[in-house]
Amino acid sequence: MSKGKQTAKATTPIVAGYYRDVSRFSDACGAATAAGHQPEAFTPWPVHGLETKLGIPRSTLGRPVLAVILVGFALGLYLCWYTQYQSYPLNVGGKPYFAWQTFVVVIMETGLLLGALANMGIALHLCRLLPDPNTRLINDRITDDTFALVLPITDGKDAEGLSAWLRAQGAEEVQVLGVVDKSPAEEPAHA
Amino acid sequence: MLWPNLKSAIVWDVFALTAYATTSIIFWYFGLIPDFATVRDRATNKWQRMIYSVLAMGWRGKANDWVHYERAYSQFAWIATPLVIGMHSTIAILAAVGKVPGWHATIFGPYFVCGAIFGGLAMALVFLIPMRSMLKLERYITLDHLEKLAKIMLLCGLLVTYVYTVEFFSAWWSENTFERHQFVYRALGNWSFAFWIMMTCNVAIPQLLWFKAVRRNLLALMAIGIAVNIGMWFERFVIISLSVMQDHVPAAWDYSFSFRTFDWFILIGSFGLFFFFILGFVRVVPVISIAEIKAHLLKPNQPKHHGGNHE
Repeated sequence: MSKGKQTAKATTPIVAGYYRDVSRFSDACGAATAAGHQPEAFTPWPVHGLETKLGIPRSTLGRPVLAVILVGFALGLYLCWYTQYQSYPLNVGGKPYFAWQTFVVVIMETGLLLGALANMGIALHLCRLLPDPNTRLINDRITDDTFALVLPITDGKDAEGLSAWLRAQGAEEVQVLGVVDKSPAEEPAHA
Repeated sequence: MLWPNLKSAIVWDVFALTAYATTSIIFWYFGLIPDFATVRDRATNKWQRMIYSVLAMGWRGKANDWVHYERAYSQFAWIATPLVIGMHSTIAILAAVGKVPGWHATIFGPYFVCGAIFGGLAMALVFLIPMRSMLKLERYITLDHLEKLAKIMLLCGLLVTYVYTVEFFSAWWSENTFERHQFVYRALGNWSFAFWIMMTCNVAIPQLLWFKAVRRNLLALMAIGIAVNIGMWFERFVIISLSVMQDHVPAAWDYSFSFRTFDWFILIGSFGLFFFFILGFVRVVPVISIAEIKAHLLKPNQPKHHGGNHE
């Protein structure tokens, strides 16, 4: 398996198992959750069903965005009422100063525009995404064709044991990162 | 303080365009984030890596992030759909609230939405066909895809044909002298060539798409796409220019529209701007979604398909 350049510095010691076969990877994720390894998974594309195996809850993005859309509708309505009725009532052909039907387009567009901006902003926040000129992954092939199952080395677990476990789960390659007392942080400790 | 008149369709249009343009741009960018990350990790040059790294926003492909990402993506689609309809029908209302004969019709909302999809699909075909060959994307953009586009284009062409018919019927049924005159003028007046080009390109030529052999012939599809684009250009010309040329002020009827130097500049300039952006996009950004294509082609537990040769 050809590998990308290893430059990441893991802050918590981790063991990463790499897979090319998505089915095997998916099964390993389920097994890691069942074994209580607190796994994290990295995939080049969205693998449906993985969230169930990893116990990832449904995204909480829906309600806040809906709330922003509704607030946007209210703001649009307020804008129309304030400018056309309260601040400077403008007589256009003797028509009522305020008739909500006239303002449907403004209200709808304001709500949906704010909803779209909120959808982007909240999604970026939930994914902790910010412009970063020096992003480094534990393995560059994670955004190409390789799946990574990452297990943290917590108390009571050792790198060798977790590496062996990952290999038993079909990992094609295993890598230990961030274990300072055993190897330099940047060492590509291919197992 | 004097405010913009929010009762005016011109101001509605400002809101509709702003919301539509902003949402389209962020929707487009959001969809590219995972692909920017893929390009970032393949970049060989330091500057390329830095630029794509900023654009990818630190995307790592974490499973939790994909869950939020996919939800956000589908929500963008839900938000964008009413915006598309809102934008095109608001522009239509802008014309329809005017008392100009040829504009003052309640069918304008759906008319413009259909026309936009019709012209948009034609433009997509005109670009996709050479691009899939030049960038060797035949395995990803298959003949089946193009045929489906052609079918939707045929449907939109029929809807547009229906609207053209209803416009004539309404003009006759209304018994309004000016409205009747406008439609007779369109078909038989001194600018009738514009009307007949529109009818040929938007009504007659798309009927070829009833035939499967035509729908699966790249050159034919490309030619029909170009014809529909020309037809849609003339449609806007007929609606806007011909209507104001023969409106309620017969004294102005002698002044015909003439296409002057600056009109040519605006036309050529708008083509230039469009090609600049589209070719710039093709040069620096993945033209089809890498992550989506991989997810589709490499689904587990199904026979290896890899796009196949559909030709």
